[in-house]
Order: sequence, then structure tokens, then C-alpha cells
Amino acid sequence: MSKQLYEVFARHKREDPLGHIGTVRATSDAFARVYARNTYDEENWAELVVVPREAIIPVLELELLLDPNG
Amino acid sequence: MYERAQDLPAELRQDLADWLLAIADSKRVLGLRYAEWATGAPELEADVTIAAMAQYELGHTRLLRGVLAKLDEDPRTDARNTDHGEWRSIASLDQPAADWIQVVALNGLVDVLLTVNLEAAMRGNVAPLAQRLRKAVSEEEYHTLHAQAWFERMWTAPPEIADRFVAAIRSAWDNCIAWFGPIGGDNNSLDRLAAAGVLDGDAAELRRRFVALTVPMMADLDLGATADGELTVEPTLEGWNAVSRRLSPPQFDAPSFDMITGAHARAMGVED
Repeated sequence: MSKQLYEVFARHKREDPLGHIGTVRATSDAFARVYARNTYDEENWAELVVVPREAIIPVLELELLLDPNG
Repeated sequence: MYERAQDLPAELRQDLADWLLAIADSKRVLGLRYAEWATGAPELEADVTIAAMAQYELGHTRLLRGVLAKLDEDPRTDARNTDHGEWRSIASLDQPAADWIQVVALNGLVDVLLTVNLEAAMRGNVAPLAQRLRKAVSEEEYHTLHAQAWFERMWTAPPEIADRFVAAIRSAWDNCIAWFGPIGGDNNSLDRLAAAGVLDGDAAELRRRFVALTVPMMADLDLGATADGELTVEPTLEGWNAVSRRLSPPQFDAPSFDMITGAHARAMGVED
């Protein structure tokens, strides 16, 4: 069963911006939710979301420092 | 609403003390069983999750023991350090989980049974439980989601794994159903606690909730239960003990018993 990368975002308070706090690898959205909740539960978040990495649409792409195929 | 657990009538205090200890002991041992897999889960994220779940179970144990300690009817004595029979944890927890498959079965059945009970007390009329259990119940939501995700994954596993999973489920299921005890009898403390409003459901209702929550996780497995929470056949409860809510006394393996009784801590002169 293949895993995919999920980016994890959270905010402390309603008025805070949603900020990137980490990643989890999971085989499904359900696992991603549970893993994110338990991996990043040290702080009292008002909101915590996961987004499949592949769902993120790049606008300005980061120039890679290393060749991923090399 | 009872502002303090000790304000309940004496006969209900005993029932509440017994219920608190049954749940607290199960959470104590479930926390240990989860912790035993904190570095043995199939993937790193599952390691982190099961470790976190262990912490929550132990935290809930502390919370419940805090309420229990206020009652003169607290059944705990020093005998618990040597006598396995003084413990009231659910039978599926007596021995360590042999593999991750069994951990998932415990998560999906024993953990859910305990949460059904916490929710019933959270909606009950004993203020310290109604207030303090709110956070615990919200934490348990993710334990259930974890179980649901793993159950789904297990059902698509190779047949050999799925067969072992079915065996683990059947074993845990029988112990869980037995825990609720006789339905409609005259010696079930869940019924008395419900009649007094301490729990918001009697034995039949709590069992119905447990079954209704767990049957949808079972895919095609027939456990003799319906999705609306009914059993097609009532269990045989020969030997059922109304206090421990088990069919036979617990018999832990030695390392587990040392761990749950804090034997190593006592050897250092430290008491829990």
C-alpha cells in the first residue's frame, strides 16, 4: 500500500494565519488526519488541517539545490 | 446535579466506585498495551500515534482515579500489588498483544467500549465527571478514527492477515459484550447508575451504542449483531462477576503485572 506525503497546517487562534507546521506520510486521508493529530498535538491548536502534497499547485517554484534524480 | 461524587447515596457510591475502577483499570492496562507497541508499529507515524494514545489512556486513568479517591467506597487496597484478582481490567488486556493485528482489535473494540462509558458519565449528573470527561472524550475521538482507518486497511490485507484479524476481533468482541453483563436482570450496576442519572444509559443502551459504533467497522464479518446495535443472540454469561464485569478473574503475565502495579517504582521507594 503506497503512502503519500501530506503537508500539515495549523493555527493557534482564529485570527492567526494558517501556518505550515510539518508533514506526515500516510496511505489514506483518514490515516493522515489521525497521524497529524497525534504527531502535532503538543500545542493547543484552534485548527489543524492536512493537504495532500500533490494537491498543492505551485505558483513560484523553488529551485532545487539537488537533482532529485541524481 | 451532584456537585461531588461523595454526595451520592451510599449504595450508588459503591456502584460508582466499582464502575470507576473497572474503567480506570482497563485504561491503565490498555495504556500499557499501547505503550508496548510504541516502537513496534508498522510505520513511524503509527509509532507516534500509539505512543500518544498510550499517554491519553494513562491520563484518563489518573483523572478517573482522582474521582475515585474521593469516595470512602474506593475498593483499592494494597492487595492489588500481589493479587491479580483485585484488578478489574477487561479480559482482553490480560496478556500482551501478540502482534499489531491484536493492537488494532483492542483499539477498535476495548477502546471504543471505554469511550462509550466515558460519554455516558460525561452526560450524567455527577459534576466532576461531567466536567472533566469532556476533554477526555474529545481526545478519544481520534482513537476511534485511528481504529476505523486500521480496520479498513486490515480488511484489504492478504487473507492470512485478515484471518488473524478476525480471530482477534472475535476474542475481543466476546469479552466486550460480556463486560456489559446481563440485560434486563436485577444485578447490573450500570442499570442502577443509569436510573440515578449518573450514566445517561443503562446496560442495554450502552451495549447498543457500543455495538452500533463497532459493527460498521466490521465489513462482511458477522458477529451476530446488527448495525442498529442489537444482538441476534444473547451471550452466555456463566461466571460473570458483577463487580469486575468479567467471566473469570484476571491472570496477567508477570512483567505486565509488575508494570501495572508499579512494582519497579515501589522497589525504589516510590508509590504511585
